[in-house]
Amino acid sequence: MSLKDKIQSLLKHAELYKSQSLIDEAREKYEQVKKLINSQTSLKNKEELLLSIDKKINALQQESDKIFQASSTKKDLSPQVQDLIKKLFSFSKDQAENIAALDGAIALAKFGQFERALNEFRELLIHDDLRFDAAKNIVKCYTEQDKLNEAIEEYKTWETNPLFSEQQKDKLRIFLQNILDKKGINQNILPTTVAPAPVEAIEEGSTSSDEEMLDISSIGIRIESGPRQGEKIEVDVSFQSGNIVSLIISSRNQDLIDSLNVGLTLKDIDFYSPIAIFKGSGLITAKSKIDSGPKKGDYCVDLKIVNI
Amino acid sequence: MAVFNIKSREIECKIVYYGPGRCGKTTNLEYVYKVFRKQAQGDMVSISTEGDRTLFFDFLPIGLGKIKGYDVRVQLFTVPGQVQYRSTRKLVLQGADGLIFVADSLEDRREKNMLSLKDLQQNLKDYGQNIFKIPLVLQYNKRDLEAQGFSLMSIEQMEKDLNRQLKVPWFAASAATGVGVPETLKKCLTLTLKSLQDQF
Ligand SMILES: Nc1nc2c(ncn2[C@@H]2O[C@H](COP(=O)(O)OP(=O)(O)O)[C@@H](O)[C@H]2O)c(=O)[nH]1
Ligand SMILES: [Mg+2]
Repeated sequence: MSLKDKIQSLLKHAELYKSQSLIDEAREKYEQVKKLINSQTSLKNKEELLLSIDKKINALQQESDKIFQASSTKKDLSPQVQDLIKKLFSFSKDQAENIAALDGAIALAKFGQFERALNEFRELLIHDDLRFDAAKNIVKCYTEQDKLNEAIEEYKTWETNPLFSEQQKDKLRIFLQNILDKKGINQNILPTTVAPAPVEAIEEGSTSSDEEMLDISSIGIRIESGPRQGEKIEVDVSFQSGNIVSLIISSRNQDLIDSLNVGLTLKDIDFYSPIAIFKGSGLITAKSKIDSGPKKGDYCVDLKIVNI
Repeated sequence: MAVFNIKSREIECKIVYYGPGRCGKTTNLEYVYKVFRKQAQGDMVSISTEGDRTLFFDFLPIGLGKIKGYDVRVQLFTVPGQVQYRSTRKLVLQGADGLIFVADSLEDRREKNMLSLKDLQQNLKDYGQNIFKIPLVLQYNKRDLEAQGFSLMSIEQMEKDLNRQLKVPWFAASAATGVGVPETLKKCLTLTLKSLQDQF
């Protein structure tokens, strides 16, 4: 491919990516064009070309800012759509009516429709069996919006509300205090006699522990020295046994081979499995040159997966 | 989380389009809405930002008519693909009876496909479901771009990346032109209804 063809192809990809709002990918292509132009010593209008690419990158940045703003501004949906959300995302269809109502309000909150959710939670406070959950969710709605002062204000109204039992108030006080502590807000609403309970997770998060070792089909390793330092190379896994993978590295990638010595731990590896890609680290446990057969001259390297 | 109503002989099930951001999930649903308008049981609802990015989800209810004496209705959803919408994505996935994973054929989106499939597996696991057991179809989208000289992954490569262990039905598609879109959905519907039949 001639230089001109190469540049044209990169630009064509960049424009497509831009049209599909694949902003990072578009930027990467423009950067590649710049690198290519920069590497040419005898290009007549080099400066102009570079300038025109910079202009494109700037336009892209503006587009990216616009997208970011559009997605970070609060979005209040129409009452009809809010109703649809309640209907589609409350999963306790067969249960008692007021539990379904709580579910519906939680769905609204999860989709950021805090104002209406707050109103619905407040209405549910009259039910003794739902009061604690409804009140907790009111606090969560404020927490999500970083409006902890308002959470405190609302909590104070519960302190004097005869509907709330002493036990309910205690539990709510601890709940709110934990959130304040976690957010580093130095305000004490707890009477000193009550010890704070362990922090309850607000967001459902997940940690996988007993994951089986998945099939790794290939791995990406970064070259750590030599002229191609920093470049990531993808190598197919030829054999895997548990957490040891064997790689065949072509003699073409001599700088990679040179940098992989037994005992070395690689910290920035991409493990490609058919299910996913994982970031992780691995220890080189063996390295040998292949002396015969079609892969003669290539290297076989064993890598022990330490951590993914 | 299908709803069966034996008395009124109705079945309602949920199918979710999953995949990385900008892979073409919304475009799939728009095509279905356009072509199967007669079967739509309401308007398509898209909750998106100004830049036409899906914010929460797209929703389209369709009716399949009578199957074995039952009136079958299907709720089609798409999830927001962007990483930052993790919690809404998980919420939309909840209770899915069948899944369509839309993968982007653009070479530069290779990692994003795999990460999204991993995210799907993890979210299903959190709901006590297994990616190997739930009705699932893969769609390799944007194939039309190949003819225009863009760098796409080969189907072989995508099969290797995404379907080596899953071994589920797959379709090459172009949601922009509609190629492969009905086929993908039909296959997923067939698998889903069959799995519901086995369950109940
Ligand atoms: N050329 C081409 N573009 C597509 C195709 N499917 C989607 N797109 C484009 O990809 C971008 C993202 O599509 P969208 O449906 O919003 O993706 P989503 O984020 O998965 O919902 C849009 O610019 C679409 O026009 C396709 O099959 N071919
Ligand atoms: Mg979308």
